[in-house]
Parts: sequence; C-alpha cells; structure tokens
Amino acid sequence: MKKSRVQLSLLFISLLSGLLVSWQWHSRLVMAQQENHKQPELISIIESLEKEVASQENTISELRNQLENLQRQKKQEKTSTHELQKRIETLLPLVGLTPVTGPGVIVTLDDNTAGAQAAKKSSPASYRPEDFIIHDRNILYLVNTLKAAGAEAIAVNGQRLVTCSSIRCVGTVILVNSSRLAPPYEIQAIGNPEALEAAVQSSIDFTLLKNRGFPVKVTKSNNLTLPAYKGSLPAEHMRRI
Amino acid sequence: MNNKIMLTLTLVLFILGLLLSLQFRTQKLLASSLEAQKTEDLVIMWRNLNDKRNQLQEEIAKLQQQLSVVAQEAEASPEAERAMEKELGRLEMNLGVVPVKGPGITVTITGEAPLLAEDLVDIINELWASGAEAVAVNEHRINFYSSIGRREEGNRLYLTVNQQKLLYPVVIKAIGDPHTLEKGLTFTGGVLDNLANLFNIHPVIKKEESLQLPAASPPRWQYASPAK
Repeated sequence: MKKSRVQLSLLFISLLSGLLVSWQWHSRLVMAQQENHKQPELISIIESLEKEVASQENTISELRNQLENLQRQKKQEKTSTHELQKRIETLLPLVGLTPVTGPGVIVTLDDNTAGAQAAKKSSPASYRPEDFIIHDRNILYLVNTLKAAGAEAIAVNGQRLVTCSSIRCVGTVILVNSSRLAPPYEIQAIGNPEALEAAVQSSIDFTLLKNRGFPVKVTKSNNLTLPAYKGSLPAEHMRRI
Repeated sequence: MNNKIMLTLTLVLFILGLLLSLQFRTQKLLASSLEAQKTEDLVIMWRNLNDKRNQLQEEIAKLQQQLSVVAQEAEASPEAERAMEKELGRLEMNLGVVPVKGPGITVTITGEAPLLAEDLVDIINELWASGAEAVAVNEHRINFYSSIGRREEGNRLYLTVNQQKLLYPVVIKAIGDPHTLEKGLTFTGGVLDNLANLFNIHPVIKKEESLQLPAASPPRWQYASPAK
C-alpha cells in the first residue's frame, strides 16, 4: 500500500516532467519557425522606427529645456528694460526734452524805440542806441531771478532752456540755444505765478528797464505750454563716476 | 530504502521546478517579441510608429523655429538695453543728478575783490556757451534749476548758489574741451576781460586733465507737468 502510493506519485511526476519537456521543446520550435516565416523587413523597420522615435523624444525634451531657459532669461531682460524705460520717461521732462504745461508768468521785454526817437531828437550828440535796446544780460539775469523764485520750466521766444543753454549776443543779435531771437522777447516761466511775478517785479533788472521807459511787463497765466528743447546734450568729455 | 525514495523524489521535484520556471520565461518572451505577433498587428504597429514619428518631427520643427525666434530676440535685446542705459546716462549727467568726471578747466576766484552774483551768472553762462558739459561751483553742481543770488549777513555780503552761502575761494569746475573752455572765458571783451578792466578781479584759470564734479539733488516739479 505504502509502496504503491509512492510509485503512483513518481509516475505522475515523471509524466508531468515529460509533458513539460516536450512543451518547452515545442515552444522553441515555434519561435524558430516564426523567425523564419514572419517578414523580417517589417520587423527591422519597426525596430528602427522605435529607435528613431526614442531619439526624437530626447531631442524634444532637450529643445523644450533650451526654450524654457531662454524665455526665463528674456523675461528678466524685459523687466530690466522696462525699468530703464520708466526711469528715462521720468527724466525726459525734468531735463526739458518734452513739452510742458502749468501755471506761471510771461515776462515781455521790448526795445525802447519811443525813448530812442525822443533822445535822438532832443540830444543827438549824447544819443547812444545801445541804451535803448534789450541786452542779452537783461534776459540772462531775469532768467536767473525766475529760477531763484522756483521756476520749473522756462522758454525764451519759444526756445526751451535746459542745463546747457546759454543766452548771449553776437553783435546786436541775441542767441538762445544758438538760435537768433528778435524783439520783443517773451520769457515764459512755469511755477508759482505769485512768487514768480513778485520776484520779477522786485528784481533790479526789471525795475531799471521799467524806470528807463522800456515797454516791459509781467503777467500771470494759469495755463502756459512750453515747447521741448530740440538741441543736443553734449557729453563727449564727461563720464559718470 | 525509504530514504532513497525520498532523495529521488526531491531530485525529481527540483528538476520539475526548474523546467516549469524555464517554460514560464520562454512563454513570456514569446508573447512580447515582435516575432510572436501576427503580421496584421505588426502592420498596425508600424503604421502607429510611422504616425508618431511624423508628429514628433513636426513638434521638433516647431520647437526649433520657436527657439530661433526667441534666440534672435534675446540677441537683439542686450543692444537695445545698452542703448537705453546710454540714453539714461546722458539724461542723468545733463540733469546733474550723478557725479561726473572728465577733462576741463577750473576758475578760481579769491575773496580779495568780491564777485557780484551777476559776474558768477556771466561766467557760468559763458562756460555753457563755450561747450561746457557739466559745471560746478564749489560743492554745488549747476543744472537748469540752479540759481545764483546774494545774501547779507551782518555787514558781510555772500554769494549764494540755490540759496546756500558760497565761501571763498570760489572754485568753478567745468568739464569739456579745456582749450575751448579757456578761450571762451579769456577772449578780448569777454567775461574775464571785463572783470579785470572794470573790477580788477583776476580769476585764475587752470586746465585740468581730470576733474570730478558732485551730483545735485534730483529736482521735483510742483506746478509743471509734461504736456499731453
């Protein structure tokens, strides 16, 4: 009884082993057959396609990385140029490179033609024509007076004054920003109208001209518009520290 | 006897296990290998792969184009940024809100023959007319907003720049071409000629290779605003 049970098990196991061995053999055979029968071209095309796709995917992820880096870099540059632009836009008006509006005064100075004619008639010997015309310094000193009274923007006969503007004469012609001006001279200044008017009225230059009979006047205005400076800002020799 | 059977049984079972695992592996290999697929499946796989490859190729072309556009813009913008920085620098220097250096001249006036405010206005005006790029009087940088004045304290008369007292010696520094600046002040009938003839004031002019000028505080507008 005991022996036959062992034998039965052994028989069963041997049978199973035999079956397995033959199955394995068969599988190998099937594989070999497949290799012989299926299109080897198709298989190799698929395999090379798979390789190609894998390398394409690598390329794409690399390109995406590069793009992302560049865009991040660009964004930083954009914010810095934006900031530069903002600072330039704040400075342009203060330098005098944009038209400007505001309240202020208009100072008008004209040559004393009436006085000149009268003097020529009454005492031709002592008549000096330069005593009856407006000089560059009259304008220069009045401009200085207006600045001291807080003028924020000044133009003389439409010439906007900036840091490097000069007012001078060549012969009898007055030059502002190297442009020739003709009388009457009109100085427009934006600032506190009362303070500017008071400063002009009490200035030596204005008082002297008035007392000598020059047609000069100062009027307040609520709304002046001054043009922009159109010249260059020389900066060949200086450097920022 | 019993022992011998047990040994055989163990051996046989061991071999059986080995065979089983081997078979399992072979089957798995068979299932996933291309060779094990049916031809029509292979054709489908090939078509799918072909489509995918074409799509990826398009994606790559798109990305490369995007990249070249972005790279071009990135290349152009440092130049634009430099130009803006230069522009900003010019404005700041002209407005006098940054310290500057450069060649030029100094005009030194001692207190022996006191200067009038008008004389100082004349000298500064003449320096601008002679091509000065930046001017300072003592520690005050001159810009559009600067004014010259006078103030009496006790029985002493002081010159002022922006309402602040000037002490002697008054040193005017101007940056620009030193030769042109000097000529602008010293020509016959010019500012210094008048000062010497009328008031016996003899400022000392010196050409300098390198001058340093301080900054003025930034101006603020209360009444003016940029026109639209």
